[in-house]
Amino acid sequence: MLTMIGRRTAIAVPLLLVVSFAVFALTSVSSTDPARAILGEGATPTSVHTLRHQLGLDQPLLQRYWSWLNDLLHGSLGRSWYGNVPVADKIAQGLPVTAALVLSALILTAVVAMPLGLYAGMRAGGRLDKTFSAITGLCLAMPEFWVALLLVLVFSEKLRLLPGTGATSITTNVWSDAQHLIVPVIAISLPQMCALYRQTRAAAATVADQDFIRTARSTGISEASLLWTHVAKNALVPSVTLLGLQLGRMIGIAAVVESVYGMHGIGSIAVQAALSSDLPIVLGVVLVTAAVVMAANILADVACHYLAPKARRQ
Amino acid sequence: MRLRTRAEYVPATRDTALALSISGLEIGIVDKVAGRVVPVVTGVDLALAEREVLGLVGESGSGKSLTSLAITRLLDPKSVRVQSGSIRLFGRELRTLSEASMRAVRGKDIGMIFQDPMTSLDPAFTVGHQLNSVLRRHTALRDRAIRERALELLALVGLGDPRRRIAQYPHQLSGGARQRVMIAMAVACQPRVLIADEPTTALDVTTQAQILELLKNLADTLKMSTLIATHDLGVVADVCDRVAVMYAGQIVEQASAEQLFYHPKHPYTERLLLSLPRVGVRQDLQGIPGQPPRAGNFPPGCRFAPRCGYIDAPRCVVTAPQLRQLGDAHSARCVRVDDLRLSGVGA
Amino acid sequence: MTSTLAASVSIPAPVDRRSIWRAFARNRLSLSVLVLFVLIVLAAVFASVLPLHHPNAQSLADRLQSPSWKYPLGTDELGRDELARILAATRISLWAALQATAVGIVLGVPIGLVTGFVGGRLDSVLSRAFDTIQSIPPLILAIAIVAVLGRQLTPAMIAIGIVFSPTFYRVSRAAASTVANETYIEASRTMGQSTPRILLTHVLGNVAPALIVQTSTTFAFGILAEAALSYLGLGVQPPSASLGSMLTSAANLLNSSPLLTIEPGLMIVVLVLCISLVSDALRDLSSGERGSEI
Repeated sequence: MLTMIGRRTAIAVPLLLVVSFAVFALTSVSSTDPARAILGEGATPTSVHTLRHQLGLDQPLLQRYWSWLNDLLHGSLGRSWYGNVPVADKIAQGLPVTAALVLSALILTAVVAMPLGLYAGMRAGGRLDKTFSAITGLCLAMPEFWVALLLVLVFSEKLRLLPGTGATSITTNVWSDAQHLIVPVIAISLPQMCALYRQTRAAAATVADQDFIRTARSTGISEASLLWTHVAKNALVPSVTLLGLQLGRMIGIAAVVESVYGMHGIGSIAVQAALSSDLPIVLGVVLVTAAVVMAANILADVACHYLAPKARRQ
Repeated sequence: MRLRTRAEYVPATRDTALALSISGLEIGIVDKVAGRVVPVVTGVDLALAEREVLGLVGESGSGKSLTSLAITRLLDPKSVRVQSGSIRLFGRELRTLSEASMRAVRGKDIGMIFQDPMTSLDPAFTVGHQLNSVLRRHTALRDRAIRERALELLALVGLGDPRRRIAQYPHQLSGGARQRVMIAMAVACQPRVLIADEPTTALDVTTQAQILELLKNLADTLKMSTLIATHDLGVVADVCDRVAVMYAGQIVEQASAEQLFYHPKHPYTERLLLSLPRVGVRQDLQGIPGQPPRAGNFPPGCRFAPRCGYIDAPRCVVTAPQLRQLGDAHSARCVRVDDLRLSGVGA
Repeated sequence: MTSTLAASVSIPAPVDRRSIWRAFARNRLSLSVLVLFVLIVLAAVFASVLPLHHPNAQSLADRLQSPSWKYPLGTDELGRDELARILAATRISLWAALQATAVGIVLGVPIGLVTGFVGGRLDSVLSRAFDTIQSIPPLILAIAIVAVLGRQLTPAMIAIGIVFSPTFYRVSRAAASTVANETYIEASRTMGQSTPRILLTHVLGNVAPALIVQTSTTFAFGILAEAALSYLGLGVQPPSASLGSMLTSAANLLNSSPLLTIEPGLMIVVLVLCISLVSDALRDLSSGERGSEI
């Protein structure tokens, strides 16, 4: 177990390095000259040149990468081109919001989709099943930010039940935070819930048809026990894997939903940075999110290993 | 072919209790496209006496597996339905039991073993866990007592080093070992009846022999009544006291093993025995030409008539023959049973 | 298990009217969905010849009107006809999704085919590379690439195409390696050497059905992805409008004119649904062809 985690982490580190180098290299082929962009239209060539020197942009690529890497090992992600703010600080500011959104969405997705999917898989076929199929198909086709807008329309504007857009950060008031978070969380998780439901249902239906389920039945087990022990443990393996992938997707989707609600999570920070071509921030966000996704995948693999230890992967 | 008569076997008399008594069993397959149920097992009467080992012989598609699964109501109602008939366990009607009562019967009064040990154990749980769950459900044993009992069971079924096995996962065990685990699960609560559906088909020859030996010993030690469904006459010869032969959804002959092998009364049985390869005799393998009739396409008369070498139209083709008692607990479903002199093994 | 038991006692399948009806009914749904989709595409592409208002024609007197005979879907804040705007935006969204899918195919398929066939070192290196792409949250990666390449529709679609490429890579790699294994067996059995051309046709034949299904699925995602990027302002730039960017301005008028938000979003949903249903039908068809092997 530990060796597996160790091995996966060891593979992840060079991957992250590759990611960082790739994105770093991309920033240098960008058509925007950061110095010119920062100084504005009327900048003189000399001042541009000076700023470039100050930002270290006249050094060769590898050298710049090396010094950036050095900074990284000392805990710094560089400084933004606009405002000269440490990237790490900006990311740290936005992290709580995004974390709250994504983790809540992930939990909601898992808690709703997995049990429903398992139950539906055991009882595949029938009219209810087909109705659910249609509904989930419909929800999968909806863009999350559109759902977010519609939810704001209904719950904030028309029904006046929940606060609308404009929430900015996580406070210590849990109740108020929950009210602000619930709609964006639902918007983010809705399509993922449907995808996870379908996956779990398919897996459960396959497992329910296996011989060992019949063996278990022959020992007198109740249908409920059968579902929540034998079927669940086997069917959840692909679902947990999918959930790990969905974490990654949700981080990206959260970026869009954050914009709908004016929330300052790392997603919307990245968007702002992209709009103003502030590449160091974008680079920082990419690295941090990639690291999170890799960690999530390792966690998912560990969970799968506990669920169904098999000598060979199916 | 050597028949091994069990020392413990006492042929049943009229007073012997019937562990299982099946009468008039009709099973059909749901044909969703046509919206009807196609009969596949018709009018089956089977009696398993106490402490007896009964073999249910038939080729695949004959309905023997469906029959054995029907006893414990393990058939999936969405695809297979038991239309009518009575199934009694020591006089207790099983078909009308509530599902909860049936669950109390499964695993406790009736144990089952299935064909493919490689897929019949849950890969996600250890051997110990799967044994525990049976014991927990039907006994009051807990904690240390359950663990002791589980270890006992593993030793009983001949698994070496039970302490190591109990913590292992199925994929760490060989096919034979897995089959033993399944047997352990089936006999864990000392059921009065054991039903084995093709218990050795998926095993290699040496393991087959071992498992059959185990089943015989268990039947004696635990005083169980055993029903073995198989297509392998070798299995029957090795283990069974009595045999029922199934063809195209019907019982066509029932007799003691000895009677069946040496004095068969049904042409199908004769052909089955003929098709057994004989040691020391060089000859071509004798198959039976033709195919059994498919469900829904049963001929009106005798179902074996199209392939029978002794066919005597119109007697055989027009009316469906009944299962006739021939004395000495031997019955056969053939109108020509009185005039035919069929040959058994060793003839 | 019981179903396999039931299957072993095979019922002769009667080909009667009801079974034909079933097969046709399922295909009929996909057929009508396909027809609907084609109609929408045609309407979007040939919008200019339809008797509609010009999508950019402003009429400040008619601002923010509800649907009427003159303006079937109402007007926006500048008095422009929503129906015309939506059709024009649909054309752009479809074209954008097409670009993204094409980029994904061009990047992923050739490399995947070669890697799957050759295997070995090349396989591990390239697969790792594509794994890396996949370890970054898709939208974040797209945002990053747009930040680098510039905020226009085409760079944004290239970004999305890069995000899609690992899936195409994996599909083609899987198909190619199946063929590779078969061909080696074949080659060891026969003495002759198979020509590269035969290999190529084998591989393409194996890849084609999976690729077609994947393309349609990806196309649906492309529409959603472009909508998200354009909504953020990172995709299509004014004065052009896609369905996503229409939602940006509509969001400001959410309370007063909710239709402006509902209509473009509905069109996205309809497009994605149609494509998904067609993709499902294609998948059923392609697995049906191989049904005898299963």
